[in-house]
Amino acid sequence: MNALLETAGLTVEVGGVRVCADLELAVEPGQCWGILGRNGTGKTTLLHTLAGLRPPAAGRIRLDGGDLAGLQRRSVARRLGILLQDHADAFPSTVLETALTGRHPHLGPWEWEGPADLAIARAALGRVGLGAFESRPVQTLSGGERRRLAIATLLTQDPALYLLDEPTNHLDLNHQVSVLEELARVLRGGGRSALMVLHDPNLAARFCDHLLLLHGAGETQAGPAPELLTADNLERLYHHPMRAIPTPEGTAWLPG
Amino acid sequence: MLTRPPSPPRRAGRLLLLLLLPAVPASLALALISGSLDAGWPILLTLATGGDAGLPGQVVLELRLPRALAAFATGGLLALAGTLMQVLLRNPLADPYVLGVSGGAAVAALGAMIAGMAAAWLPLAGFAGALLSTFLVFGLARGEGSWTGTRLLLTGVVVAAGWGALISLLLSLGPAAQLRGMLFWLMGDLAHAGHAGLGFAVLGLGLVLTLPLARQLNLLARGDLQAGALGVAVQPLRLRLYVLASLLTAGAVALAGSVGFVGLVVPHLLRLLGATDHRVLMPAAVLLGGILLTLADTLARTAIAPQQLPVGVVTALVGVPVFLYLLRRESRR
Repeated sequence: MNALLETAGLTVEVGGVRVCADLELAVEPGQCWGILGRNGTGKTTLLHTLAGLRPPAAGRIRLDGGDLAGLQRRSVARRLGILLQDHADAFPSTVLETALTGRHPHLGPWEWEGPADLAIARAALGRVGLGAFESRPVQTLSGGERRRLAIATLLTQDPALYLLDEPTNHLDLNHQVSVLEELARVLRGGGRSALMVLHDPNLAARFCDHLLLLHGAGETQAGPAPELLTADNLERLYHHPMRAIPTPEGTAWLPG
Repeated sequence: MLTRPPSPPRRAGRLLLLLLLPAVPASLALALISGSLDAGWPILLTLATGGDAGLPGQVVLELRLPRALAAFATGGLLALAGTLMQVLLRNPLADPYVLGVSGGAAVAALGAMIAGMAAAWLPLAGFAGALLSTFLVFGLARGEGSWTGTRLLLTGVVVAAGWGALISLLLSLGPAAQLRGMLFWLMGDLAHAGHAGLGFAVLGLGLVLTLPLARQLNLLARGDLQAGALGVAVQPLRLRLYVLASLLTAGAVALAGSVGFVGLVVPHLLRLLGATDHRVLMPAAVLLGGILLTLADTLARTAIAPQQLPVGVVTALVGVPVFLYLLRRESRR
């Protein structure tokens, strides 16, 4: 099977910290990868590098078989979307306008968003529970609502590969689960893949089939989630004792 | 079947442009009939139908029309430059003059005056000075990394302060006979603007080159990373915007000297009116900037006639309170 995203000998560094070294990763259509690691191990930097927003220290990244660095940004954005950690709203804008920006890579330079684009954006807003917020100014949204709007923008962009930087950030418990379930539904329908930075191994266990563990200093582990989710690995990852609690749905993890 | 309604940003934009368009000829007409010599609507009508209106007609055609057109072009140039600068610095309170552009232009023009160059060369000197200043600011702010809004703004403010010192130096060294002309240039004055055609050429070029970038500007306003994530090649776009904004500002400075606050207030006002999409905001800014400066210059000519005020004084007197009001409003959010 052809990998959607593939890295070869990828080394990423930021501010003297090595995030990963010689990483060989292949994300195949339909797969959902979770990225776990302590604060400051470079999860965000790695995600930005995989999105082509910053250059790697060494190695290559291939998107859909093409060299990421050599592709036009527009053509990258049609296939790869990223949910960033922060949103800069320096200028006024409405919720619907913001969601519609996701259509940008799909439109020609002179084209305006048409009824079809509008329908896609409205559907995406509905999926994250912002259907009634269309004309609200973005600046009046709460942190969690702003987060869900960013996810709706990404759904409107409709890429094949979703890179998600802490998608559950700012969200309360019910929205954490409903947003991730919505994303999982999107991924299942149509061979889309995702790589998401998460802070909770339980969410990773529930939604991800593969994991990338960033241990720091360039050390990484990658593979199927059930194999990597062990007390040993998590204790090494978080430098903290972990307790495994068996439940009917699988193992739940609590810090010891 | 009913036709589907157009998407909301497009509909709102159409309405705003429809409201602004009739105000363009209205503001120009007001500029043509205002002044110490009475030239009323009948004279405009006579002129428009190709008739001979005698002396008043001559005043309107040869004095007021070129000046009104120069005012409109200057206002349009400043408002468009301001819109681009605000996206570039991701700061709704940025303005072409904040970056020291006007200071560089003023130093070059005052230097040319002192060197005894003919008045016809002053616009060119101002144009060159404005461009030099922006290249200086962006070159210094670039450093080793990429441009960030804060670094650009700080570099611009410091360079502007440097130009301010040079202006004081030139004013203290300049011959007394030239001081009045120098001051008018510093404050922005359309009395000697005779290059409206050039202004419109720069404005037209600016619009042709920026309108295709409008949707990318919408994204850049949301941050470099977000713009990159949605398919914008950020660094080339920033460079292009900077060159265009400098060119537009230099064109305005060449026409009228330093006229402040138009570039700041016009885009801001339009955003308050709901023009958040740059596909609407940019053409609307050109229209509203032109309208406002035409009106401001008419006021400058007539307020204490026969004495003329520099138009920059009028825009500053109106602009300062508006700016402070907007700032307070911003901080109360």
